[in-house]
Amino acid sequence: MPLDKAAKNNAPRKTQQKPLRFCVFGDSHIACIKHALDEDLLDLKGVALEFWGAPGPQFRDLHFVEGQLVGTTEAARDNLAKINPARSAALVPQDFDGFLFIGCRLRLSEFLVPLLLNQAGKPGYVTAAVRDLMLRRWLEGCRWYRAAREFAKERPVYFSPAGFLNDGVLSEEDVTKTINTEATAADRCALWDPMQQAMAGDNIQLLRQPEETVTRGGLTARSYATTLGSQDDDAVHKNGAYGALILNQALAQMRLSQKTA
Amino acid sequence: MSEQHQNPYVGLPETAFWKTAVAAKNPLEISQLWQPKFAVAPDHRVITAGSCFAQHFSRALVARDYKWMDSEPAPKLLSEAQAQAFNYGIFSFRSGNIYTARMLRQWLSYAFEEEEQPAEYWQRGGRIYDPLRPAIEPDGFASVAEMQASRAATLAAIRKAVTEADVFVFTMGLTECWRHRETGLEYAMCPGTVAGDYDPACHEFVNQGYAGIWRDMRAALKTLRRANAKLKILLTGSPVPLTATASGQHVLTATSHSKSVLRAVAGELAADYKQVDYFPSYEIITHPAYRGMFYAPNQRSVVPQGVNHVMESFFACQNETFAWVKRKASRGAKQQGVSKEAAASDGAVISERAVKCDEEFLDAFG
Repeated sequence: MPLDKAAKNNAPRKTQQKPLRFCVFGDSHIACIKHALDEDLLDLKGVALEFWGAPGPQFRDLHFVEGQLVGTTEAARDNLAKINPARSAALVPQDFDGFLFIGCRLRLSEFLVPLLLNQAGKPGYVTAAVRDLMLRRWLEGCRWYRAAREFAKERPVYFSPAGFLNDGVLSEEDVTKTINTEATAADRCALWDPMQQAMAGDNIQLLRQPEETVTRGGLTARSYATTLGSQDDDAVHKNGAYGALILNQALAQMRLSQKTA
Repeated sequence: MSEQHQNPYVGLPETAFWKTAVAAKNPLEISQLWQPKFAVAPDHRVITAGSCFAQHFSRALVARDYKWMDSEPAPKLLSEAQAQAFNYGIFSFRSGNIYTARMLRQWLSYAFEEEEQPAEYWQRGGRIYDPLRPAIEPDGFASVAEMQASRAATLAAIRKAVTEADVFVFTMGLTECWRHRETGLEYAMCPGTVAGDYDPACHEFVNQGYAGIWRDMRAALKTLRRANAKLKILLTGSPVPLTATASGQHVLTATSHSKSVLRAVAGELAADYKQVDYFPSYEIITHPAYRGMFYAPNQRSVVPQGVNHVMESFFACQNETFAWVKRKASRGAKQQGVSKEAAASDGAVISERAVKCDEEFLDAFG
């Protein structure tokens, strides 16, 4: 949806600059950015923000075809029409100055979390060579990551994978089995670094899950979990505060790169 | 008047006589080669280690829905080819090939006896290699710390496998080995082949004899018994001839010597220990009765048909001795058809996936 709010936030300037056209693309994880917008937590000065994507099953019907993302089913197109009526036909890289891909089925729980669990000294420890192969397969195995790579050939792309699961939803038994609750910021950093490097190789800029949102080694603090519905059964979605940290980080980096360009 | 006794050969089964058991039969119909001491049923947790040939056991078990334990599984994100390249899923843990009794003893002592691990490591091209398993990572390790962490993970996997398994299938492969003259550390391969530097002042060739292998195997069995009193050990011998010998003998006679010694030790252990048995896969492939039909033209590699025949014999002997195993296997394999299908497809799997064998590296340095 094109947002007037962005324009409103723009203070009048002596020389009128074109607003930065920025699009948030993703599955149901785009909701946290929308929450942030609704809660007025975003720094949208000089930004025209739009959303494009679909939740749940319809997200699978979004495909990269001939240089653009399109909905391949009626249900997906209907959904796109609700989210961004002006662009329900397709998401074209050239229509924006930058993109945030958020969630998009690229889940930390499938790569970073098991590696955190199997640090040196643990039975499932893997070497850096194996880790790098896993990383490549994790990225390549996600077709929306592949789409992001194609978009990145045209415009700056920031990628925020689906964050750590929310604390308080998994049973303690599952937490013990799957989460390294002792993992430190340094441990996480050691895994974020190669991820960032791999994405940079595809001209994509990784947005790490902000450290202040992480708790118990590899979970998202409840204060950043979605507040919609029952918090006890949504381990995945985040709230506006989380969304604000992500989008503001993307926009800050984009502004910085524009300045230095 | 003393009682008249028939001579002991009278009344023996057909299998006791060469003429009826072998000469009169098509080789593929030679049967009852093995009278298993204990059952290996579909619900038994089986672990495998040893020489290259041990890999066939795990594949055959998996193909028949038996519970082969992989206690150091590949990360889910690796492809099958990548996992194999990094030696996941080859044996029950990432020890690489354990060719000799001493190597088995060493691994078990590090895993269970708190024996101090060797500080030695090998280098090549700026990468680090583990002398206990130099080919485990295709390009070695990034650092000594990484090598040690990876080995620690494998030792944990060995502990898990041994303590949780019901049956340990160990395939004895070689008598020839290389050791450090001072520390006595036995290497998986000769230094200077995959990595490291060969130094005659430090490294010595040892062709292990019967007594030494017997001692090492007894020590290994003792450790296994302490870790898991219920564990059954199934020994097999690798029918694959030596790639190369450093003994000074012709490689053919060196092979005969090695295999004969290993066969003798395995037979004696099976005779002496109630929890140890010997399955004659070695004989099925190598014996003249089979006319060499299971070897590839290089007279070394075993063709898939040979492996299939070995494994068919294994399951047939199990089923004949333990009728309940057959019933369980039939149920587990969703009727007989699946079992046959698995057996048939086994060959295809084997032909598609090359057997991982460190010794093959020697070909490159021969």
